[in-house]
Amino acid sequence: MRDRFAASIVVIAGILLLAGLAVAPALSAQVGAPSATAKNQDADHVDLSGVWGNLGGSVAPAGKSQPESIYRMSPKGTMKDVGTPADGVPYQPWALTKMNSERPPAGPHATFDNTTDPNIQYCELYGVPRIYNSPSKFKFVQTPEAVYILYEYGVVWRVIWLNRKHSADPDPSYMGESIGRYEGKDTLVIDSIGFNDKTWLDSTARPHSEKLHVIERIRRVSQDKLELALTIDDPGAYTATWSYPTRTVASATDFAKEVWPCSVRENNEFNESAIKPTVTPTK
Amino acid sequence: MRKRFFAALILVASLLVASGPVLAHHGASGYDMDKDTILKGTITDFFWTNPHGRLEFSATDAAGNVQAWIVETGPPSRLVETGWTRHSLSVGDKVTVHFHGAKNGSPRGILIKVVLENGQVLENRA
Repeated sequence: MRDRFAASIVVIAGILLLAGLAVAPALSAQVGAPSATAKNQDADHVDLSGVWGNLGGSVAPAGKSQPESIYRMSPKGTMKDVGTPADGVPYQPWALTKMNSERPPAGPHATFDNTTDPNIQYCELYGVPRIYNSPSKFKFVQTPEAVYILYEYGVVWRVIWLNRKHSADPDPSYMGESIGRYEGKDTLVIDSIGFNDKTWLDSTARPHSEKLHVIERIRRVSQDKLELALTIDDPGAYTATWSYPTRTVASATDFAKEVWPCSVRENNEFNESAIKPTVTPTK
Repeated sequence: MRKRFFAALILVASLLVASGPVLAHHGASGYDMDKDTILKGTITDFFWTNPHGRLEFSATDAAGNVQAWIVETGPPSRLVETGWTRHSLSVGDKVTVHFHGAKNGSPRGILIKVVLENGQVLENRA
């Protein structure tokens, strides 16, 4: 029995290792990076320098695991449970109804055509926290008064004002108003409000209201790894505060070698040539 | 012990399915990811564009009919990770294209990899 248990551990370790291969290319790409993971141990706050991202792997042949997001989408359950009581998200009824009326690109009801994704349809910004759903890179620029986060996806940036209070009544916007503070020597805490209600929380179409309040806790756990904890506080759409499972973000290289802008013209061309024919009966 | 073994397997399985496919920002539900198609053909166009690139090629089927195919790739920001450049493919290049085809049978697909005549392999990232 003991042997069988030991064997099972080996099998499990093997499976996890294979699953990890999905993110291995991003890790292996660190080789030769110009001080991408340099960490200033003398600073009195976390040094977030480097390039970060969740990039997945290559599109795989049939029978092999496709690249998986290392971002779990719900506090509980599996992807098929998203948008049901089993996912652990305390939806208000209207929020669940709205979510299930959408045609998102991800989740158990993922659709390929006629998407209602505001980003794909209109190139509206992903917003926060959905910006972290994209398999692309981002970078922190730390200054004494603010931290700037530059995202390849959408070619968008945010400013996180340090050690300030929020505005009394910020204008609603896609990326919100963010303030931040360092916590200990390894963590940046970002507190954001002032969002409009046009974005989704993630690519499964979870909605939110203008009362959305997002707390990001970004902890540098090692030279080449960040932990990202996202808490959602939105009394306009959810009955309680809830959090996504903590996400691991790996270091990467070659920031902005190519970026990922959104163009309605390019989206439409791609949709007409590549997507529409796959959803229109051909016979 | 048997219970612990199966409990561990269930845990692993749940970890693997709880995360979501990262394939393409529009999802991949239109493609048959359980089947590979491999065709030899000639590049007729190559788009180094967002939100995804695409390669267009012609291939002759078993009956001798020439078919025009369009296969999507990842965006340039992902393709550069596997060595692609905007010059990777040119009109007239002889290639072998590995892809997952459209479920509805149309000549469309999402690229797995393309093999150039000189043997170079370009993998897709989406």
